[in-house]
Amino acid sequence: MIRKVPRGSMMNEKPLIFAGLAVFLLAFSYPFWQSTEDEDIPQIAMQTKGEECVAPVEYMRKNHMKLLDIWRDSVVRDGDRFHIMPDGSKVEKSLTKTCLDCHISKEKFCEECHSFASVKPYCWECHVVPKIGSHTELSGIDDVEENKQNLLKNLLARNKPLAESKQSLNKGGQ
Amino acid sequence: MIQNRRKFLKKSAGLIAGAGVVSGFISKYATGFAKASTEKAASGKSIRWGMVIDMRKCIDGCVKCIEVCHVTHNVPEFDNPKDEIKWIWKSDYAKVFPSKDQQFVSEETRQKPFLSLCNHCADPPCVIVCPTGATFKRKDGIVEMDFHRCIGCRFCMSACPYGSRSFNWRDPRPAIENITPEYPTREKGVVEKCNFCSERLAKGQQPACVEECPENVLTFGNLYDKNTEIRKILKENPTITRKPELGTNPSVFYIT
Amino acid sequence: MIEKALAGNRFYWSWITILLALVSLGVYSYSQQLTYGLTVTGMGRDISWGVYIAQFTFLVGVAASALMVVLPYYLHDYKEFGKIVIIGEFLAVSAATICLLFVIADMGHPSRVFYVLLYPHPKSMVFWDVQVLNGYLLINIVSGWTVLEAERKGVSPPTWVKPIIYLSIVWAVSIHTVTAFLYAGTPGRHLWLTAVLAPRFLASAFAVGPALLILISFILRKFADFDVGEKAIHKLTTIATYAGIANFFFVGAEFFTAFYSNIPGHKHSLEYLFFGLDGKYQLVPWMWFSMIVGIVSVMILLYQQRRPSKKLLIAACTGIVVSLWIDKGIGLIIGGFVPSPMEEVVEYFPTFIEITVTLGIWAIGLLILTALLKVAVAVKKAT
Ligand code: SF4
Ligand code: SF4
Repeated sequence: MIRKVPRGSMMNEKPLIFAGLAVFLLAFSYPFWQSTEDEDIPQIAMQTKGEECVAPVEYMRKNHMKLLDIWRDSVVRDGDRFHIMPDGSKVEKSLTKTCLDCHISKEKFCEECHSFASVKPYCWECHVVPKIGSHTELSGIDDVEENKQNLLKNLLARNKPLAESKQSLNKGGQ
Repeated sequence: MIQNRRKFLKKSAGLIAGAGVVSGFISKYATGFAKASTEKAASGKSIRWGMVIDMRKCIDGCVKCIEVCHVTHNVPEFDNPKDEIKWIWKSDYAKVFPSKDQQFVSEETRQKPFLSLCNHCADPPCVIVCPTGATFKRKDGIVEMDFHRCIGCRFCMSACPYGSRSFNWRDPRPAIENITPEYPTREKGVVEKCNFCSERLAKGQQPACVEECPENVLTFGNLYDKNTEIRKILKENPTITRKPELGTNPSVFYIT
Repeated sequence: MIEKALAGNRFYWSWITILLALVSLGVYSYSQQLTYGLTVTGMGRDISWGVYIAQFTFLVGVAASALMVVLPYYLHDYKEFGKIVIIGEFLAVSAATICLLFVIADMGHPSRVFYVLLYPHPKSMVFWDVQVLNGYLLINIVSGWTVLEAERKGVSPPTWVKPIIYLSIVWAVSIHTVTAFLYAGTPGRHLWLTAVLAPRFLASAFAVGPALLILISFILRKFADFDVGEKAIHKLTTIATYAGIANFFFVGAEFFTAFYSNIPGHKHSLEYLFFGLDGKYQLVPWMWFSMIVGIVSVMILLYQQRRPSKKLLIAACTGIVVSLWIDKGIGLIIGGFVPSPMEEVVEYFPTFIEITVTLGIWAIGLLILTALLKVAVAVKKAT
């Protein structure tokens, strides 16, 4: 089984192969290590209410996605729902209720930049884009009654036949 | 008999697994069963949310709790039962309690509609099997879903012995008539189930179903606090839980 | 060395073309599944795993069965397996690869597959399964390829592969054991909640693997003019026979426990599979076919020990593979979901998309296997 003379080896081709590989890797990783100049970034229409942001603007520009990640983990996994502002006040850790309350236009605030950077975050697959100006502070806490009314409206809208046919059910509720 | 057998199987499987691979397993299975988790109050945890369902008061045909839950949480409605998603629903007594004795029980009792939802088990099998921690147990006992993390392997659906979990086989949004903006919808490809309204609890509200029920069928509260209404009911009434022989220690109790 | 896979006659290329056609069909169907979600499959709320996971289970067994040639050859120095051991290893490589593909095909959110490593949860058996399957794949690629390369160059394999090969022996057992634990640890599914599941998995794997290897040997003899040797085939027959007997013994043990103890939960799934439940009996003919063909095949194999006959051997090996494929690749997974936790009996029908994705993945496996065997045979013939 053991033969004395090894057949033609690929040894001499190896440098070539590795050189090719290196060129490919460099080209492939170009977008990761090339730097973007600041002026390339589109000027975002901030449209803020003029209040203070949850973190310094510079930080937010670069790291808002990290902050949102931290927020979502702490809300969903630790049940820790409030962010403490520098002045000690509380805001909800919420993209829809806090971020988009100040930066009221999702199109301008999120999408212009994201399409420029061609990133596609999947926030809106699930989260519902708030209607401009629909928000109130810490929604739900101060507006239990209003929420309830909305809910009831939704409920009836979705269940017309139910609401009509099973009238007896509605006796207690309304 | 059946209980001992199951425990034995579980224990031996656990020991083999532990010896082979996971050391964390050993402590889990070797430190005994039911008692350990039901009496956790001593170990520093102060909240374990639970629910008592008094089926004596529940009206046949009423679906208010179901409707309010599904609207609050944007649960879609599909025509095809294959795609069905539900958080709380009614099913025959015999199906909700399949291991209860059915001898000489009248057909009426067997078919009496019973409420069925996630039990927020104290020892939830769905949590153990989840490979990413997308299903996890919170400090207050709620078994919660992290939709951002679910990879859609559906292992939890195989592991839950109560059929409490639903999978988004398709995009749910078209099947939600009126979206409630306060709560997110889901993407296709993730699992969902009842969350004991953790988003409402955070605001100091009761779960939507509890609040909505006109007959006070549902009582919600902290099982670790001796002075709560729920503990009072549990003390004064004989209650049952679903498939207690599996050692999952449900937090949802029924008065039949 | 890989260039050897690119030389072949017309027959070879038509075979490759057929496989490529199946792969493209599968890719198309999978793109549909990605767009519309898993609703395009026959799975649903009650039967939430289907053919994908079933194929996965079956193929983990095929992958693990390389053990049955590696162990005698390397550990017991059984020289007759000299030619077949590489075939076993390459069969394991292709099977393990498509196992992983089936897992991905089954995921609702395939883009998040790396979360399993990013957020590791060692209490979940999936975590371990991913580790052992990938590890096993790597081990077999490395050991198989290195040994073959050394053989081609006419030198003895480097010493560092030996420990890797020994590791692969233990590892093979682990992949199928962990896979069995995926199921055996679920409290509500009586068909799976049994301590004999892991041994039964191993037994059926060690019957299917050698049977497949025998069939592959005959194919290679016919089409590649490559003979692994009568003795090797005879030994494989013996292994398949006794593993097959062990498998059916375990199945019998399941039946006894369920029906003698008379515990309803334990009986239900078996009743559904073999007799029908609540007027639903879609799988009954399949299961009986599997059972009868399997037992008859094992009996033929046993008879082969005394009076070998090529035709009967081929028939029996095919029988074993088909029978255990039905048993593990259909019955075990679907049966585990019936009845549902709420005692509903729901039936499952795979859809066209699901079947074509499955065929496509199988075709990928066969492509890999064909290419690898082509290389192996070319090298072996040259030395
Ligand atoms: S009922 Fe099912 S889903 Fe809910 S905690 Fe228990 S095992 Fe998990
Ligand atoms: S489907 Fe999602 S929640 Fe369920 S086990 Fe898999 S990752 Fe966890």
